[in-house]
Parts: sequence; C-alpha cells; structure tokens
Amino acid sequence: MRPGERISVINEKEEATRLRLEELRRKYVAQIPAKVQQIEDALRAIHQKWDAEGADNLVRMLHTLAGSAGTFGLSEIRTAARLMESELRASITQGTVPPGDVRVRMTSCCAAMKEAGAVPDDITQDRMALSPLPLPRETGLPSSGDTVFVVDDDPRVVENLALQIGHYGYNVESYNRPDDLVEALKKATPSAIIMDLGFPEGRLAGAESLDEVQKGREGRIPVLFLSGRSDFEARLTAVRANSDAYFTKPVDMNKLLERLDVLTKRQPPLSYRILIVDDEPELAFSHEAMLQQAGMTTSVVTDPFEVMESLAVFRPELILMDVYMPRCNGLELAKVIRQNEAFVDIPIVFLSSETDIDRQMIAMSRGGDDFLSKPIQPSHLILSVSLRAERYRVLRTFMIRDSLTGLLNHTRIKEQLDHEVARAQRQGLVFTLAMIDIDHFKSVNDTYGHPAGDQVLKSLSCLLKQRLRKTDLAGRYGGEEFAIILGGPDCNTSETIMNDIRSNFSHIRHQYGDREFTVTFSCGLASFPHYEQCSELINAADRALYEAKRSGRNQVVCAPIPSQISVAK
Amino acid sequence: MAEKRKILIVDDDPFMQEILAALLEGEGYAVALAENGAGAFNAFCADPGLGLVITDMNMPDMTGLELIKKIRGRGSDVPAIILTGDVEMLHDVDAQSDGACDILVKDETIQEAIGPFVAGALEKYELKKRKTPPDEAR
Repeated sequence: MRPGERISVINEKEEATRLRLEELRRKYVAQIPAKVQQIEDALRAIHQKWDAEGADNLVRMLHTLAGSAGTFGLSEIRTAARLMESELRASITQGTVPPGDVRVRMTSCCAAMKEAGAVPDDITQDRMALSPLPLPRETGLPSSGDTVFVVDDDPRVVENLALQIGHYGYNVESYNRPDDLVEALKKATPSAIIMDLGFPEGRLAGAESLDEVQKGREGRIPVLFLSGRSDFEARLTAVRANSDAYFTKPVDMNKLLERLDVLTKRQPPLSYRILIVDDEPELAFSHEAMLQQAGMTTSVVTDPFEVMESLAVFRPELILMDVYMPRCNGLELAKVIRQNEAFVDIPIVFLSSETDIDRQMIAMSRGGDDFLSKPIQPSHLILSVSLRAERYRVLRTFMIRDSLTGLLNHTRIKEQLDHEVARAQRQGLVFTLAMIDIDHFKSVNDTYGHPAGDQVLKSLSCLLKQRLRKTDLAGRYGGEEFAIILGGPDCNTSETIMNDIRSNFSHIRHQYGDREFTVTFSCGLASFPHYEQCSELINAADRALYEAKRSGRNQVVCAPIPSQISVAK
Repeated sequence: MAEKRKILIVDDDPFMQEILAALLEGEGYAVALAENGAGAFNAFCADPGLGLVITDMNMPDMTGLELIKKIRGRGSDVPAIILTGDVEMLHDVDAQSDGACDILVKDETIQEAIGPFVAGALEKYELKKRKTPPDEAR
C-alpha cells in the first residue's frame, strides 16, 4: 500500500449520504418556483410603492436564495439573485426609488430566475457536472452545459454544425428525424433546437413537428430553423410554427451563434470593459454614461496618443472610437492598435457623423468592426457594444483556458504575469507569485490511471477557486504545475494562504473504484517588488519550489529576499 | 486520523442547515444545528463537545463574525468557519483577526470543499494545542 492510500469499500453509509443529498436537492428545487414567485410579488409591490422595509425584506430573501442556490449548484439562479440584490442594495443605500433602467434589470433577473427554476431537475444536474470552473477576472465564460439539439436528415450538416457550435461552449446532441427529437425531448430539455425544415417525411415536417415539441411545456424551447429553402412558403410556415429564427444554408455561423446566444439567454454578463476614445469630452462622457447605465465598466481617453497606455492598463474588451480627431484620426489609430498582436482581435466600433456608406466601408477595412452614426441612440449603442464585447469574450475564453481545469492556460498566465508586473511597477503595488507542483503525480497516474489523475487536477482547481478572490489569478502552468498570482499580499500572508490550501488539499480523499488515496503539493513563492522582472519572479518561485520538494514535499517555501533590498531603516 | 468531533452549524436558512448536516454527517462528524446567533451561542455554552463552528455570515440577529467574537469573548479558541455568499469577503482582514479560521463561499464547490476545510481546521487546531503549553494557550 502506498503512503496516503486507504482501502475502503463503497459502503452503505456513503450511498446513504448520496441518496440523502439527492433527496434534499429534489426538495430544494421543488420549492424554487414558489420562492421566486414570492420575490416577484415583493418586487412588484415595491415598484408600485417604494417601501424601505419591503425593500430590506426583499434583499434578505434574495441574499438567502443566492446562498442556497449557489450551494446546491443552481448557478444561474444564484447569479440572477445576486445581481438583483446588488441593484436593490444600491437603491436602498442611495435612499431613492430605483430608476427605470434598474427596475428593468431587476425584472429581467426575476425572469431569469423563473426560467432557471422551471427547468427539470435532471438537466440541472447535468449542468452541474458539465460546467467548467469559472474563475474570477476573465469572466463571461459561457455557461456551458447549455445543450443544443441539432436535427437534420443530412448527417454531414449535423456533424458540421455540432463541431462548430461545440467550439463555442455548447453541448450538442444530434438527431436525424423529428420523431427522434420528440423522443429525446421526453428525457431532457435543451436550451435550444436547431432544425431543418424538410425531412423525408415531408417538405415541412420540421415545422409540423413543433407542436409536438412544445406541447405541455411550461417554458418554450427556442427553435431556430436552418433550411436550404428560402422561398416565402417556407419562411411563412416557419413563422406560423412559432419559431425564433430562420437561417438559410449555407449558414452564416456568426449570425447563427449570435442569435443562439441571445435565445439561450446566457448568464447576465459581468461588466464589459469599454474604452472610449473621443477628443470631445462632453460626448465621451455622455456615451460613458449610457454604457454605465447598462452596467458596463468604462474608461475615457481624450488624447489618441494615450490610448496604447490605456490599453495596457485598462485592458478593454471593446473600443468605442471617434473617427474625426485632430491629432490622429480614428482609422489610423485603429491601424496602430492592430499592429500589436495582442490587440489584433479587439472589437473597435467607430462613431462619426459620417453617413456616407463608402467611407464607412473604408473604415471597416481599416480595422473597425462596426460604424455608428452620431447622434447615437442609446439602445443602439448598447446593443452593438454588448453583442461585440460578448462575442470577443467568448472567443478569448477559448483561447485562454485550459479545458480540463477551466483555469488559464500556460501562455495566458504568463501573459497575465507580465501585465501584473507592469501594473505593479506603475502603481507601486505588491503581489506574490506562487508555483505549485503536485507531489508524486506520475505515481498517481501510473497507479490509478489518467482519469484519476485528471480528477486530482480538477479537485485542486476547485479548491483554488474557493480560495481565490476576484483579484487573484490561477493558471495551469504545466502537466501538474500551477501558477497563482496573488494580488495584494506579501510573502508572509501569501505563505499562510498557500499553506491553508496545501493543508486542505492534503485532506481531500480522491476515489478510484473502491480505493481511496490522498495527494499533496509543494509550493514556492516569490514576491514583487523583491523580484522585479517576470523572469526573476518565475525563477525565484521555481527555486523555492525545488527547495520545498527537497525538504520533503507537502510544504510551502518562500524565496529569500535578495540582500540588496534590505536597507537599514 | 483525527477524532471526529461535533460541529455546530449556524444558518437561518433551513435548507443550508440540512445540506451542511448531510455533507458533514457523511464525513463522519456529529452535528448540532442553530438558526440564529443567540441560539448558537446558547448551544455552544451548553455543549462542551463542540469541536468546530460553521456559521453563516448574514443572519437577522447578529452576523457570523459577531457570533464568533462572542464565543472568543468567553475565552474559547474553537475553530470557526464563516460561510458567505460574497466572494469579496475572502481574505477580509477583519474576519481573520477576529478569530475566523476560514471563509467559505456559497457556491457549488462547497460540496467538495467542505470536508477538506473542516478536516484542515481541526487538524490545525490539534497541532496548535500540542505545540502550546496549556498556560500559554492563546
């Protein structure tokens, strides 16, 4: 028997616990609709007549719901409840009746909760199992576990769609016939259905099956048609069948996905970061106000020459840019920005009074993604910006995350470290880099197999997620190596934090069949500004990690403070 | 393996009480439940067998932090874990200095994390007890 291994039989007690948890979850999920209804009623009441006590009660209800929903894994309800809670708290603090847009947001949170609460429990379970671990900062991860059913009698179409949609974080299940779809729907409810119109059964068989599809459901499933036909009869039939979208083959994948995103109502996004570049301060701040009202985080730059710096520090997800600026026009600025590899794909939306289509097209070809004419309608601005920022986020997510653990991948965590060093230098901050390496990981894989090894990695990621804040970052640096950037604490505090995590991790009982084993990790720490360069930090943390291994593993070691820095006070 | 101890669970939401009880009893601990700070404090004073306290932060009569302060005021250094819905509370300096050993966020990772967190807190406490001679106990 290896050190740390115990043999236990899958016994009645564990089974009993599992059943108990399942039963509890069922009970919990069953009472959700009533809870949400209570919240909705309370919200309506305070909308009609603002009442501080009523608002306080509602906040309490939302806070409680968010906590328990989170614990039971109902993350959509948790997110919606928390959002609504924070909106309400803001109004209570200001002592004012919530303005129109806040009310709208709160009402849509309510709707989101209702919808999430109406989904049958077995789907919710699947979501829990499938959702990757979202980490702070780079948020806006698709709530994957969103399942889409694709139905087409041509297997190549189905395969192609499944592949492409799958890239964007959806789980795809494919069927070839409307009957198969109806059968499948008895067991599970997808977030959306993408379906052909014509099948061997009939030219309009897809549309005809929709009645059967939506029958007896509390919440409608969004349906998107994808058809080779684009004639009027086909389109009208689709409309009459109460579908949500119609695309013709060959399909414009971007448009399909945009529509799919909207229809599957992905989690309300956390604040998009928008950089506004406009030499007219009044206009810039007016656009800023519009975007902030919609819940976005903004930064304004009125001098194009300062944009590059702002990009490095603020790291926006979209740039809203005036075209006509005296020192440098928007089109040139876009080109300069795109020279930098890191910003080649950042969406740029141009604003101008230009209504001439030709000049707009030239602008797009110079690196813009959209062109809005002033004066801007707030709703138009917000919609345009949100769609593009969201798409950017989704794409970025897939380029930057390790698929197993949901943490940042090697390239990105190194990149983040660069950013942190730059930021810390500029703002005089302190932060610590922690390098973790799982002890005897090769043995785990050899003894219990790679699936068990993967589970160990996932457990560690889970733990890290519990312990890290919005300002911390974690990435998978190598096979069994992780890098964590702890923003704020110095070496001492970081050592305590990492030791706690080390201890917690050592207590996790990993299971393999009827065997149990435990795993530990070693950790090396190095802090900025003791080490000032990215490479120095990595080397120092690595050396400390090596020291930890040499000293027996399962411990945390701090890199020594370079002696040049110690100055007598 | 450390002796299994009795854990006091404090939360005003009965569902939270139940799920925490299920998870901890599944790990072999005995549990006692309380639904508010006052009840929890009384239960704590009455039962010397309680080895750890897990408390919700946001409760109607007093916060989890206030409860822990009260318990500390009685001279007890029992390990205490705070549950919060608010991610930002992590590493809150006040919480740590007021005697909370750990802070857990209410999301789905809690189901996996609670066992190790509790075991870790208990082990740390045992180690501390062994290292410190009784008259120097903090």
